[in-house]
Amino acid sequence: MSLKSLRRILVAAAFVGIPGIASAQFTTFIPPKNKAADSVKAAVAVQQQMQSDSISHAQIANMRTWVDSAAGVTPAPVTAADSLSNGAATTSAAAETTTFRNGTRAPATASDLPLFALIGTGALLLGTILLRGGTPARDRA
Amino acid sequence: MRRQLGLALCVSGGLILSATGGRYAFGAYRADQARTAWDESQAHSAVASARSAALNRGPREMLVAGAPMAHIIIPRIGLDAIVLEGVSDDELNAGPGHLPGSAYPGEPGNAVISAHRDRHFNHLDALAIGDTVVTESDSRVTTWRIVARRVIDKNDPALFRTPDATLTLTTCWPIRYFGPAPERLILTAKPLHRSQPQS
Repeated sequence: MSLKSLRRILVAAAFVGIPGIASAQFTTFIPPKNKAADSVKAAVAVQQQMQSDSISHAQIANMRTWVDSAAGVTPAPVTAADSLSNGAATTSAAAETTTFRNGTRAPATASDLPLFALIGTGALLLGTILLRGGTPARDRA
Repeated sequence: MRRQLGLALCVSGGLILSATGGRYAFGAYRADQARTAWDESQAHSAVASARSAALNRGPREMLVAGAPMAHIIIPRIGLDAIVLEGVSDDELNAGPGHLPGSAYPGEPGNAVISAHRDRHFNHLDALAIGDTVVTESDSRVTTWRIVARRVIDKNDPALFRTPDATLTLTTCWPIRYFGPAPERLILTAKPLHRSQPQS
């Protein structure tokens, strides 16, 4: 395979692959289908949870949850149901989630392997091009 | 000079690809091992009934990290995988991971299952509200219906206790993002049908 045809293949692959990959790099937000209904459900869940705990029952008067619910805002995590998790509900940004606590972040499912695969493939292709391009013309003839 | 640079790039690229491929291959091997262990555990009915009895009588024993704990099937995206206990790198490399401390699928409470977006949950974005998920855990088969789907920042609180049975699936977002993804895709499901544990 000549250098010219290799370049043509690379350009064609770039035209096909780059638009889809590039568009995925921009983060997007999917709005909930029915945000108001979801927030009401969440508020009801919060109420049920609070009612099940006599200690936190007094906090049912906290109107913030209800105001947030009416405004379509997800209620703040309720930690009163479990006294042990009071301090753990607000985890530091550096700590990864390894056990379930009320109000915890989603586990760190981010993977660097796709990035490594891209870097490795890029380095291999670039190296191949440099090696082939570096061959003297008389050798290629 | 150009030739040396090309050679260096080829070697380093090959090493990076080998390491990456090796990591994927090891994950596939671990997933295969987990499926074998799961099949064996399901084949032993005595063990299953003992676990069910333990489930009905008292608090559950904590599974060790990496132990197969459930079977998850998502027909829409063709996923059929064994869920391992734990969400560390090793578990998530081999399969979807169950967040320790969260409920077991089908039991009252929020059961949280997470997986990498470049492996088992690589088509999770194709799921929509109304799609079904099937889990099998402790001889209890539960069919779930997805009722909510949201994308949040990776540092935002995402997982909450629920009084009723809930299944939460999480992965990184955007799905095709290179590097550490800045957001999380959260799918919430509620049970449609539950079979009773075998006694």
